[in-house]
Amino acid sequence: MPRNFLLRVLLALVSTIPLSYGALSQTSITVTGVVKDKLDQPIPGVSVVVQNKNTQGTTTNAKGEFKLQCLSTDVLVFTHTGYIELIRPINNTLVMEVVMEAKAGSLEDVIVTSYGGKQKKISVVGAQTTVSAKELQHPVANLSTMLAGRVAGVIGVQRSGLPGSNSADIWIRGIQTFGGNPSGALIIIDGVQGRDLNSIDPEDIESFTILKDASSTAVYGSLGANGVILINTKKGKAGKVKLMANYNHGTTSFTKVPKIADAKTYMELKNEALIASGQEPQFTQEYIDSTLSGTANPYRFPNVDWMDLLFKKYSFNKRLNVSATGGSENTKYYTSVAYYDETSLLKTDPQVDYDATTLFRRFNYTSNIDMDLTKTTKFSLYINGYITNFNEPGWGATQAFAQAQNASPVFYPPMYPGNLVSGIGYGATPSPNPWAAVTQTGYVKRFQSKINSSIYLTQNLDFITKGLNIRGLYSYDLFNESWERRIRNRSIYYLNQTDPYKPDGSLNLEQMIAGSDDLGFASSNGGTRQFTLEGQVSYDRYFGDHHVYSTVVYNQLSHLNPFNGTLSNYIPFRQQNVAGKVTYSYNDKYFTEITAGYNGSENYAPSNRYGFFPSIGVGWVLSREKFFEPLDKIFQFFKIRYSNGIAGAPGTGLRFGFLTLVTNSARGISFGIPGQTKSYAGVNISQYGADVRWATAHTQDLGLEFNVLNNKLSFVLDYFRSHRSGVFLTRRDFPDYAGLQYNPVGNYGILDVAGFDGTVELQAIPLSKKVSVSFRGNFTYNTDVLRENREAPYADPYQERRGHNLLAHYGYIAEGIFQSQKEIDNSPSQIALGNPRVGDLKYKDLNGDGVIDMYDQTKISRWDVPNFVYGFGANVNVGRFYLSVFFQGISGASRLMEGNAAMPFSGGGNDGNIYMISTDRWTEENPAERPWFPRLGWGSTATSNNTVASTWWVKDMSFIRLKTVDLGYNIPREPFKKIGLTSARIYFSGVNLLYWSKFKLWDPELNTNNGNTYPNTRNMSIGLQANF
Amino acid sequence: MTKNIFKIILVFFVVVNAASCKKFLDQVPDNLLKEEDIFATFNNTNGYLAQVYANIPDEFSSRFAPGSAYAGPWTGASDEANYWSLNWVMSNSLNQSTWNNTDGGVFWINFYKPVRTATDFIAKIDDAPAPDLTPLQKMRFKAEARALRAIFYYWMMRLYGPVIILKDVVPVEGAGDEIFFPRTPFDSCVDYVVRELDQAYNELKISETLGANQPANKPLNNEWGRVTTGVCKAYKAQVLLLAASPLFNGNKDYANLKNQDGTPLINQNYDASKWKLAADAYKEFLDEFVPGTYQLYKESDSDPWIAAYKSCKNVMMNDWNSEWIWGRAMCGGAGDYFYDITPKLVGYNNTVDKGAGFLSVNQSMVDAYEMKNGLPIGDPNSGYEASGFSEFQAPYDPKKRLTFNQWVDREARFYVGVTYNRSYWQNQGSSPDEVIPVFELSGNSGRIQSTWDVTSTGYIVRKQLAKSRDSRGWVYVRLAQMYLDYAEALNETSPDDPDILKYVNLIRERAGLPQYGAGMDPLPVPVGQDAIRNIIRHERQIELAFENVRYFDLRRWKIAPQTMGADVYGMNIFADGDAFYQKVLVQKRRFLPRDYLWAIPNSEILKNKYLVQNPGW
Repeated sequence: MPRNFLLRVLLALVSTIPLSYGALSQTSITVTGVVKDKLDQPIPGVSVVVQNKNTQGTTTNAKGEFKLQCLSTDVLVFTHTGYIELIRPINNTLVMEVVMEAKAGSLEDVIVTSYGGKQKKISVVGAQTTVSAKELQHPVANLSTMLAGRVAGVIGVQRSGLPGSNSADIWIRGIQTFGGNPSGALIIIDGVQGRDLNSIDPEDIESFTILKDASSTAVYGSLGANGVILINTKKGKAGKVKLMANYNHGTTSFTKVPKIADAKTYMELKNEALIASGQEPQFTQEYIDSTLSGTANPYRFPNVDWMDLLFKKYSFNKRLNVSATGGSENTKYYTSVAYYDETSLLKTDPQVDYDATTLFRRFNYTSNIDMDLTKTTKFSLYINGYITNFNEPGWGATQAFAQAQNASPVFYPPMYPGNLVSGIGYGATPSPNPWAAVTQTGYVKRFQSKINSSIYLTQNLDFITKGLNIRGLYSYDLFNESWERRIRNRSIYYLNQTDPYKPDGSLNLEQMIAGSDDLGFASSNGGTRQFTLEGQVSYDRYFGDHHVYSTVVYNQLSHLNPFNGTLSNYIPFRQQNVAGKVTYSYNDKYFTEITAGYNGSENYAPSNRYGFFPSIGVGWVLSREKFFEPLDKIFQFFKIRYSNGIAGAPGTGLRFGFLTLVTNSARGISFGIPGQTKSYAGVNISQYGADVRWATAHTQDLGLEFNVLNNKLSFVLDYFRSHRSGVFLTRRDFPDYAGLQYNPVGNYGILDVAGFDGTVELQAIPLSKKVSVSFRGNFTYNTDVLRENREAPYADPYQERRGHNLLAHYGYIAEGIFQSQKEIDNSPSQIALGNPRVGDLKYKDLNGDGVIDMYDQTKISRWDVPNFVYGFGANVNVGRFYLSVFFQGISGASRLMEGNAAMPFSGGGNDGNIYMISTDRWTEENPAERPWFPRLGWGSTATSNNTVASTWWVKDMSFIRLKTVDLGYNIPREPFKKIGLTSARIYFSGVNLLYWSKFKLWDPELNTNNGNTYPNTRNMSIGLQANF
Repeated sequence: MTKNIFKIILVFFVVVNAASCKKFLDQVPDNLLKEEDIFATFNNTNGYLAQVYANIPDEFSSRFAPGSAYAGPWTGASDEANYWSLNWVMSNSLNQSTWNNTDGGVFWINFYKPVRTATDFIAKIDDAPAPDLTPLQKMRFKAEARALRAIFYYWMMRLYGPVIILKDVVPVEGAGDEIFFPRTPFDSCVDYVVRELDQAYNELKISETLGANQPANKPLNNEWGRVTTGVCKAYKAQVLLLAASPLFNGNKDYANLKNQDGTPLINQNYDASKWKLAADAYKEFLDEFVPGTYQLYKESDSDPWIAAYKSCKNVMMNDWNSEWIWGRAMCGGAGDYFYDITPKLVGYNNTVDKGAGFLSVNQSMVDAYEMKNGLPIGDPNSGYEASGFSEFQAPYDPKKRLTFNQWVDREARFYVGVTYNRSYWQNQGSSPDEVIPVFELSGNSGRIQSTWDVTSTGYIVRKQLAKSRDSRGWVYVRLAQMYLDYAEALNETSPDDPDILKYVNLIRERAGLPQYGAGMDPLPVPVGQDAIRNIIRHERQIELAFENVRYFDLRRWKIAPQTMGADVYGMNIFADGDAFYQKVLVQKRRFLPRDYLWAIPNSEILKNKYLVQNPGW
C-alpha cells in the first residue's frame, strides 16, 4: 500500500508538468453518453453544450442519454438545475459516462439516511436536516459548539470555555426525558455508534445529518428516541492526488470577565453587612486607609486583585489539517492528519520546576480507503483516531477560577516571603488561595487515545436480481486513557494578626497546616473497547416511474469497560438489533416509507428483552401535480410530508435491574470495646428487581418544504409532537415506612414534547458581476410538559410539578422589599425563612395562611435550557473576497442566582469576595425598590430570609451572539500555478466575538448560578488554506 | 470472478451468523448475592442482623444531625447547650421553631428500615438453611432482632407519638391498600412494644437452655452492644414511663388527633395506674439485674471531691463499665464530637489537638449545678459569689489559677460537664506552653479567630471529653438513669415509698454530695410530692446532662415552652477582659405547641390518604 501510494503521489506530481498534446488533430466526432446522479440514476433534461460555442448543444433524454456532434478537442459543459456545473474535455472519448453532483441543499442533493442509505432530498419523508460540513469548520476544538443555531432541531448551549472541557451540551428537539436517563442523541460515525462527536476534526467531515422524527429513527429501535446524529467522514475521490493544508493561529480571550469588588468596596460593604447583622464592623478606618495607601506593608495589609493575578488577557490556539485524497477508479483514499492545541488564560509560576500550564492538545488522523475487489465487490477500510493530552494544575483550573472569585482581597497576600503559601486551615482543608491553587499544587496530566477502525464489504448482487446488494460491517473501537497526578499540598502560613512582627522585625508567620513540598504520585487508567458487527441486504430498483427500496439490517454491538472493578459492570453492554425499511415512490411525487426496528439489550429482563418499533412516513410533492400549475409562479417546489412512529430510549442506570440483589458490604455494626472490637459488615438488599425496560416515544411530524423566487428561497418547516412514556424513574409515591433501602424503580414517567423547527435559505443572489449574497437562518422551538413523575400529589395545585416543563424550578414569589418595620408587622410572617429585617425581601402568601413557608412556593423559572434557539447569517462574496457572518441566540432560559450573586459574602468567615454589583443594594440611606441586592447581611442566619429561591433571583439568560465571522480572500491561482497550487485562501475567523444580553454578571451561556465557572472564550484566528 | 463473489458472500454470512447466535444477550453475572443467599450461611445471617443494628444512631455526630449517622439534635435542642454559632445545625431551627414538616424525615425513613429488615429476619430465621447456624444462635438472633425492632418503634414514638405498627413487610411492587395504612393509636403502640420486648426477653431466656454457656444478661460472645435481657427490661420500663407521662397520658391537647375513621390516637383520660405499671417494670429490672449485672460505677481517691469527679467523668469514658446497660459500641462519630467540644486553640503547636468548640453550654445549665456543699447557687448559705476572681484549683488542674468566682467550689459534676474560660485544658499534647483556652473576643479560642468555630456562650460542653478522636461507645441507658426513672415513676404512684429518696441519694452519694435525709451532713428531706418531683428532675438534669435525656424529659413532662423555649444566656464573647464576664443574651428561643411532636414527613401524608398529621403541622 505505501509503495502504491508513493507512486501515485509521484504520478500526480509528474502530471502537473505541462506536456504538449498539440500533436492531436482536431477531427469531428460524434460523442454519445449518459448523465447520471450519485445514486446511479439517469438525469433527464441536462443541457450539454460545447464550451465557448453556446449554440452547439443538446439535452439529455428521459434515460439521461445524449448525442452530440463536435470536435475531439472540444470541452463539454453539463448544466442542470440543482446540480453543480460540470466541465469535461472530450479528449477523443466517444462514449462518456458523466456523474453530476447535486448542489448542497438542492432537491436533487443526495443525502445520508439511516444504515448507510442514500436518498435524494426530495424523496425524504422523515424530519432530518443536513448541514454543510463547511459551516462547521471553525477553529474550535469541539464540533458540538458549532451546532446550536445552525441546525434546525438542535438545542445547544456551551457551558464552559476551559480548554479540554469546552464542548457544548446539545439535545435534538430539546430534552425529552428525565430522572437521570440519558437525553443525548445517538451518534453514529461512519455507520458505527459510540464514537465521539467532539473528537473529529471538522475538516474530515463529509456529511453531517441529524434525524429527528420516528420515521428516521425508529430503525434504531430503543436507541433512537433522543434523535440521531449521522456523520460520514470524507472518502477518497478518484483522480490525481489532491493535497490540502489548512493552518490557523488564533488568540483566545474571555467573552466576559465577572467584575469583582476591589479592596475598598469589599471592606466597606463587609463592615456594612456586619453592622446590619448586629455585629461589630471588622475593618477600622485606619486599617482600610493602610490597605489602600499603597505604601503599607503588603503582607500586613494585603490588597490583592486575584482575577488580575491569575489570568492573562490573551492566550493562543492553533490548528493544522493536512489531507490527501486521490486514487484510481479501483482504489481511492482519503488520509489526513490534524493537530489542535489550546492553552487556557491561567498564568503559571515561573519559579516552579514543573509544568502546570492548562493545555489541551489533540492529534487526529484519518485513513479511509475504498477498493473495488471485483467489478461488483467493494471493500473499504476506514481507520481514524485521536490522541489528546491535557495538563492542568493539581487542583484543577475550574476550581482556580471559582477560588479567584471566592478569595477575599484583603485576607492574605498570594504568597509570603520565602516562597511560603498563605492561608488558614479549616480543619485540614486550606482556605481558598487561588494563586496557590494554580501554581503550587503540582499538576495533573491526562492522556487519551482512540482508534476507530471499520471494515466494510459491499457486494452487488445484480446477477441474481437487479438492485440487490449485501453489505457487511465489522468495527473495533478502542479507547484508552490514563492520568498522572503529581499533586502536592504545601504547608500553609498565616500572619499572626495580634503580633505581626517578631522582635527582629521579620514577619511572625505561623504554620496553619503542615504540608509537603514534594510532588506526590498517583496514576489511574481507564478505557473501553467496542465491537460492532452488521450485515445488511438491500434492494433498490426503479421500474419506470416506480422506485422501490428495501433493506434489512442485522446489527450487534458489544461495549466493554475492562477497567471496571465489578463483574456486573465488566460484563459487556450489548445490543442486538434487526431493522428494516421499505420505501416506495412514484414519479418523485408520492413517497411512502415503512420502517421498523426490533432490538434488545441484556440489561432488560429476559422476558421483555426485545422491543418492536414501527413507523410510517408519507410525502407528496404537490408542485409536480397538474393542478398545482397555477401556483408554479409562486412555488417552484412544494412538498408535504408526515410521519408517525415509535422509537425507544434507553433508560435505567441500574445494571441488570431485573435482578433482586443482596450486598454483603452494607453499613453493618461494630461491637465491643477499644482493642476488642468485632465489626460486622451488613448484609442487605441492594437492588430490588424491577420489570425495567426502555421508554417509548410516539412521535408525529408534519413537514412542509417549499421554494419560492425561482427556487432561490427555500423553506423547510416542521411541527412535531412526541409522547414519551415509560421513562425510568424512582417511585416517589411509595411510603417511606415500608423501610426499603430506596424507593421502587420502574418505567413510570410520562412526558409530552411539541415544537417547531425550520430553516430558510436564500441561494446566492448576484448583486453585480462580482458581488453576490446569500442568507441562511433557522430556528428550533420546543416545549415539554411533565405528565407523570410518580410523586405524591402536592397539597396545593400551584406547587404541582406535573403540567410544567421538566426542568422548572420552584420557589417564592418576591413582591419587593420591606421598606419599614410596619410593613413587616403587617405582612404574613416570614420567620420560617429567617427573621426579616427592613430592607429584606417580601414574599407572597400563596395559600393565604398568614405564614410564608415552603407551601408558598410555586414555579418561578423554566430553568437553564432554552426553549428557543435560533441562528441566522449571511454570506457575501465580492470578487475574491468573501465574508460570512453568523448570529446565534437563545431565549426561554433563566437561572436562579446563588452564592455571591444572591448573597454577598456567602463564603462566610473571611472567604468570599463579592461582585462589584454588590454596591447596587438596599440601604437605609438609599431605600431602593428594585436594587440587585436587598439589604446586606453577614452570615447565612442574618440573610436566610433573602437567599431562598424566589422570583427576585430569577434572571433571564437570553442572549444573541455574533457566533462566527469569516473573512477570506481567495488567492489568484496563476502566480502559484508552478508549485501546483489549485486554490488557496487566507482568512480571518472569529468565534464568539460579541454577545448581547440583559444579564450582565457573566456570560449567560455558562452553566453556573453563581459565576464560578471558567468563562467562555472568544477566538480570533488567521489562517491559510491551500489545495494542491 | 463469480466464484470469488460467492466466496465473499459465504464468508459474509458465516461471520454474521456465527456472531449473532441467540446467546449474545444471555449474560448475567454469576457472582451476585441473591435474596436466597441471606440465610444460607452463618456469616450472611449475622450480617443481615448487623443491618438491623446498623441504623442505631451514632449520637456523637449530633452536629450533623440527622445526617447519615442518624444522630439527633437532642443536646443542642434542649436547654442544656447549643450550636448557635454554627448556623446550619439542625437544633438551631428547632430552638426557634422555624423548622417545617419535612425536617424530621430522616428518622422516619431510617428507623423504619431496620423495622423492615427485622420483620423479614424474624419471619425467616427459624427456617434458615445455614448449616453453620446453631439453634442457640438462631434463638439469640431472633430475640435481638425482635428487641431492636421494638426499640426503633419506641424511638419513633418519642418523636412522632403514635406511629404505624406494621404487621408484615410492605410489598415492593404493591399499590393501594397493600401499602397504605393508618396510624396505630399510641396505647396500642405501647402494648405492641411491651409485648415484643417481653417476647424477646423470653426468647433470650430460652436461648440459655440451648447450651454453650451464653448467659442472657450478657451480650452474646461478650460482643458489647448486642441486646441482652437487661436491655429488653430497661426499654420496656422506659416505654411504660413514656406512656405514663403527661405528654401521652390523657393529654387533652391531642383530643383532635384522630385517624380519618375517628379512631382517637391519644387516649383522653389520665390513667394514674400507668405510673404504677412503669414503676413495677423498673422494680422488676432492679430486682433482677442489680447488683448482679449492673452497679453504679465508682472510683476512689483520698479526696472525696476528686473521687466523685473521677467517677462521674469515667462512668462515661470507660467503655461498657458496670453501669452501662446499652449503647452503640465503637462509634465512628466520636471524632466529630471531640472536635465539637475542643476549643479552637489557635497558636499552639501541632501536637495540641484543636477543635472548634461550638457545642456551647447554656448559662442556665451552668447555674443548675450545685455548690460543692450540695446547695444550689441561689441558696444564701451556698457560698456562691457572682463576681470577682479567686485562686482555685479545678479537679483536673495540676495547680491553682485565677478563676472567675462563679466557677469556684462547685460540685464535681460541674467540672465533668463544663469547660469555662481560662481553665486548664485536658489534652496538652507536648506543648511547651500551658494550653489554656481563652474564649474572650481576642483569645486563642475567641470570636476573632473564627465566625463559626467558637463557643456562643463562653462555655463548652466537657462531658465525654476523650484523649483522642478514636472510636468509642455512646451509652444509651445506664443504671443511674434507671434509678432516677424509677424514683420518678414511684413518686407519681406512691409518693411515700422510701425507695424514691434511696435511689436519688445513691446518685448524690456517688457525686460526692450530701444526701437528702441520709449520710453525713444530710440535707433536709423536701416535703410533698411536688417538692420531691422537683428534686428528682433537678438531679436528672445534672446527672444526665448532655446525654440526650433532657430533650425528651422536657417534652414528656410538658414543660418545654418555659425551658426549651427560654432565651439563652452566656458570657459576652464579643468582649475582652472583665467585660467578657457579663451575662448577655445569646439567643432568643421559641417553643410552639406543635413542637411537642415532630411532624410526620409531609411527603408521607401526601402519598397516603389514611395518614393524619400531628397537630400544628
